[in-house]
Amino acid sequence: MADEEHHEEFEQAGSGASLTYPMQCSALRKNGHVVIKGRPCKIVDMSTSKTGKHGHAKVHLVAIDIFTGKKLEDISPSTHNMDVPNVSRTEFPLLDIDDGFLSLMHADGSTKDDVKLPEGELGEKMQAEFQDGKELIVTVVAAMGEEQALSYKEAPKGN
Amino acid sequence: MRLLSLVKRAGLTKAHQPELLQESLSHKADSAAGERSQRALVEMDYQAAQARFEQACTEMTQPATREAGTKVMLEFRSTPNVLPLCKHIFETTQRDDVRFHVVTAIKEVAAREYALHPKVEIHGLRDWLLEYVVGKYDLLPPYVRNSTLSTVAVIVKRGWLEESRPDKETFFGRILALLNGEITHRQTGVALLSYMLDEFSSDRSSAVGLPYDFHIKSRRSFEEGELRHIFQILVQIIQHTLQVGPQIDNPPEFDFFTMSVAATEKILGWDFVKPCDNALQGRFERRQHVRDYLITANFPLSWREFIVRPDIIDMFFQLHHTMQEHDRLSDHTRQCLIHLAGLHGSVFCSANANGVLVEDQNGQRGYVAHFLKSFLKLLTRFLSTTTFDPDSGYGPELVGITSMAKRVLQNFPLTITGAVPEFLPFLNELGKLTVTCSRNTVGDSEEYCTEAADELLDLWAGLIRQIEDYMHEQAALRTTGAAPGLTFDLATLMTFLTSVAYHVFDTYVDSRLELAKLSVEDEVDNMKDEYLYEDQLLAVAIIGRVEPGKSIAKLQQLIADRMARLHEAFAGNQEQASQIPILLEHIHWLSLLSGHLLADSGRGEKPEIPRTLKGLSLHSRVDADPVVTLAMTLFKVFKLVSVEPDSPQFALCSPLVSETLLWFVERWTETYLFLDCREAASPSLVRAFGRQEGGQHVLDFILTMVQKNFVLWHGETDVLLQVVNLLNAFSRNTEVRNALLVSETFQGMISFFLDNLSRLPADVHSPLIENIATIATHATSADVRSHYFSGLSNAIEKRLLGILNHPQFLQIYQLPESIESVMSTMEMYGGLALAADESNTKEIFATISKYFDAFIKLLEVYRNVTEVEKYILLVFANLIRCQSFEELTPADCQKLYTAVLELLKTYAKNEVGKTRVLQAEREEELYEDVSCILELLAQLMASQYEGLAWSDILVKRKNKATVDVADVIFYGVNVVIPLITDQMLQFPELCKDYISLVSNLVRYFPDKLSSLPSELLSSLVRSLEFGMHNAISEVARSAFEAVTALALFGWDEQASSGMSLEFLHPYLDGLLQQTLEMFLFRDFDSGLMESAGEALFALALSRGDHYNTLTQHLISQQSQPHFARRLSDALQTLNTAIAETAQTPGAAERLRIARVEGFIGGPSAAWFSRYRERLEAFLMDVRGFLRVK
Repeated sequence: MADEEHHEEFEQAGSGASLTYPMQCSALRKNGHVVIKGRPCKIVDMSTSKTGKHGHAKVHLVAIDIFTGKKLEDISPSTHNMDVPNVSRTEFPLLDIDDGFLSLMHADGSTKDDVKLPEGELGEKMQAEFQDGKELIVTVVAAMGEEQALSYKEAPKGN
Repeated sequence: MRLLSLVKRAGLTKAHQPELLQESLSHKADSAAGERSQRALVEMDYQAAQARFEQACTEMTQPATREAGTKVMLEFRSTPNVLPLCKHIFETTQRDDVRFHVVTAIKEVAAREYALHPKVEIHGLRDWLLEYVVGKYDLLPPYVRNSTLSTVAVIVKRGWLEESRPDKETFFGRILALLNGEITHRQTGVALLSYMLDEFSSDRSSAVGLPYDFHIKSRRSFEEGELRHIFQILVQIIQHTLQVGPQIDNPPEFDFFTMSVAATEKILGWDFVKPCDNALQGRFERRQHVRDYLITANFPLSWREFIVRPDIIDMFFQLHHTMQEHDRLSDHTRQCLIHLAGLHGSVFCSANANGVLVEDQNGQRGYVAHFLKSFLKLLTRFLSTTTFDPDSGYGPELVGITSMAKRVLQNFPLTITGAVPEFLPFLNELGKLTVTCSRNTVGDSEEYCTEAADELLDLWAGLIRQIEDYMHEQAALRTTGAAPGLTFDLATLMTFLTSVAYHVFDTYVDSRLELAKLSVEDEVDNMKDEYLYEDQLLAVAIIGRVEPGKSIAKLQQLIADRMARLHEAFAGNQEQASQIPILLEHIHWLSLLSGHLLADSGRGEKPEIPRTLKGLSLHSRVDADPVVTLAMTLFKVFKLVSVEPDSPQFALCSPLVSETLLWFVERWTETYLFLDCREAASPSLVRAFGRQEGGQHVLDFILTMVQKNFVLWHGETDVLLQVVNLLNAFSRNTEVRNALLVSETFQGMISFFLDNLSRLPADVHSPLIENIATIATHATSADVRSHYFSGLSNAIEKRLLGILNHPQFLQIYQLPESIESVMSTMEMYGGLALAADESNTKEIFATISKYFDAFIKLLEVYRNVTEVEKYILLVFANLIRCQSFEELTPADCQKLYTAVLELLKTYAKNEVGKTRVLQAEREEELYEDVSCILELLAQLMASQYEGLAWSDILVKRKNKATVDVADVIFYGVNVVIPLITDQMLQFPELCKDYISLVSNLVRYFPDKLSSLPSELLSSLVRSLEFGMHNAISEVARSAFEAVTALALFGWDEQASSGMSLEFLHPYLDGLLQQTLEMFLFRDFDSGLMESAGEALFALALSRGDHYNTLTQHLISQQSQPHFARRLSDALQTLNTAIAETAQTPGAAERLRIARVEGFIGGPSAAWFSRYRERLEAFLMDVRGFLRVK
């Protein structure tokens, strides 16, 4: 059965600026984040299964890589810890698009020029709308040392 | 498409000659050459149309062209005046499949166009079809024969209420003649009778697009006129055949005989029209698929001399015995016997001197005695000859026998059955059957035996309940000093029953444990045993309690044994360790059985100690009470499996066993924990579990176990939810609640829960807090209450402040631990809100409202994290739903409204530019936040205005404070309407919530609609139109109610008090048109008749001019003058009804009330029923010819 389970003391896990944070598998939430095979993912489905009627629960996770959109799966005893990535979403006004890179503005007015224009439809649409003269706000998602622009919207009028 | 034009040309030509049948056409057409060429044209068109129809039939057999073929077919059926062509095709085609399709079309068209053709033509068609089958019986394949006869039956039924007596007699004379004729004639006759029985029945009739009333009236008339006669004819056929011996080797004869028996079965299971089945109360509902024994075989008094007869019973038992080798026939005879076993109703009454019906007990007794005598023979024969070999085909007979037995016992009271000499021998055989079935539930024969065993357990439980009731009655009679009305020997019955009951219980438990060995290897089923086998467990508990001493002893011995073996396994005994899965499964089942045996469910009122257990306990020694011992033994098992998390035994433990033991504790607690002498409990129970005695100790023990298992299984959602259920059971008992609040163990447990909430599965967060808060806020002592509640609220508050006051909150708010922390804190507040009720609203509101601003701030911060948004919205939605507004001060209300307004504003800001990407299978979640807002607004409105009259609503709305709740609601509506897309309305729940919000808005704020931006208003009206056509009747009904309210606002000048309603008119006109079209041209859910009818009434009243324009337009659109005339007459009658109803004294007042309530009449409003009747008559009259378009 569950011979490999380990029961650590209940205590507040320390936080810090680490890339991930450990969390007990059963306490993960659907639509929350988790690291599977080293990739930061968003959980799209969570179900429990048992080996036999009297077995201990295992959690089956289906998740989508937040950057590549690839589907990943994992199964783990419910009391094991899994890593949860620190995912930050920041909105930046878009200043320019230059040679495949976005030029974004920090709150202090300085620029951030290291985020690529997304590939595919999203990037094309963003570029087209930007060239139409629309003021765009780009949401940049960062996790586990990676950074990407994943969505954008038109800046609210009157700002 | 070409077919349609061809058919139309043919139909157009015939417009000059409205006769239906080609025959009559040919008689008249000879006169003029012009007409001759006309006819040639028709015939040519017919040939082309037939060719196209045949092609469509071919297309329908090919997957690639099926859709196209079906389309042609549907168009064909909806072409006006297509019957002559149908008949032509039926007659001339060489293909059977074409004949089948065309006769199916005739069935539909004849019913629809019935009123358009002279009676003689319809009769001609009916007779022609019948004679066609008679003449070619052997040449037609069965499917064509059957559909043709079924069509004849539909035509007969459609004209039933309009036919004269002689017409009906002539037709029946023809059937009788057929039944006396040669074999194919007899086969045709009985098949036709059978289809007519279907058409007139309550659940097998074809849909002909007519109201309920028509079906009911036809059925009633058929019951009063022909049914008994048909029964007699069929019985004669059966009797005759039995006398001369069935010709088994002659297939047509045998087929005829089988059909006769099958038709008889339909009559024996007839669902007679009840007095309440009238059009007013019965509405359109059909009792479909309900085959309860109370509905069928309820025969009226007039049937008594035909059916309550020993020779009828004998005939069916004899028939069943002789024909048992013939599966098809014996299926029918078995069903006949089942119906006879359940025979009831006024057929067992007789009229007394005053003409009043009184129950005739002697008649019933005689009937049951005769039935049981034959049934006993059948049962004995079955038991002695059946091998229960799966291949022997015993199954249907077994299931049939159990159904018969169940019917007899359910149907006749104990006072009747108990006095029949065959009763005890019958029960004895039934006992044997039960034990045999129970044993066979394990093994190859399990399929039928399991089904039969379930039924039989239920039967015994029912019988025991009957006896208990009877004993109560007798006891009550004795206390009044009346002589007991004993009609049978109760003592003998009880002695007999006691031995049978234990035998049944004993076999069940053994078989269950046997089965357990198999189920540990099975795939895990998500359904819990306790639900899956609930019926079995309840029945077995009732049976076990008849002889409680032996039953408890059996469980006690088994549990003790399994516990000892598990103990050995834990201690390292290898032999027992290999048995662990089975031991665990046995403990699981024995706990379930013990829980059911010892206590009833606590759903509803507080369960009492079962009577016989109380007796057993009273007669036991104080230190050896089996009722106490069994519970104590299970507690020991609980202790045994509550191991240390780091012990090697943990890997051997089962979360399911812990869950079941917690379930046992929950069920047991409600009856036994803290019982006192008032409940007339025995001294031993009071000593062991009483409040002042052993109870406290037991409670402490339970809490310790709960805490241990909580640690042990903190990753198992099911176990934790069971803990929540147990806390819920605790929270319902005042004594237990108070004891918990002074218990240190409980205090420790709560701190533990709160400290570790983030590690627990999300599903348990809110319910856990809710139950703890409920326990805390219902303490009897005010001090304890405030102490405990402040402890709890402080702990939650501390968490919240820990987040908010974090110096770097804005840097770390996106870290997963911050998000998790915020979410679980919001869940705690959400759970706290759920615990609110009238007695604790003040405290809970104070705790939550203190941080309204903080919640809104968090909503702003987490605008990109939908999950967090949802939990914040939930806190408000839960609070508004659960709290009691009466307990709040005006200042509290102001605080709430201000906060909700701010919340909505922030939410609206967050929504700007947000896109929702629909992902398969996760659609519902996408809109959780919208759902929350909808609910919040609907609750807020309901809390303010529900049940108030319009004048009070206005007064309430006029008492404006700084923040008016109406403004808040209106602001919310403005925010939420633009978010609702057509796509969202595809989701039933969301659509339901939205429509009900709109409905409330229209009812409570119609005067504010003019202030809505026009695109919002039109979006709102569009959603009502969408709602009207929604497939879910609840949504559609709610939409029609809103339409009614809106239309009545347009009508009621008082309510609009001078404001211009011009802006509303286009919308009302659109709604009127939609409603009218739905009634006249579209299929609609007949369950909506009432609400849609009211909407039409209100709209016609409000928009009289437009209503007239629309209806005039309809009339002018009719291509044929006689249609136009009929429509105009029918509308005239309907309009008169509308006008008269609206002028009924007091109508205006009632309509004003209806505007706020959303509905006008309800079934009981007599003043409105005239309109309703006229509307139904109108629809019956015009839908038939309007819908051919």
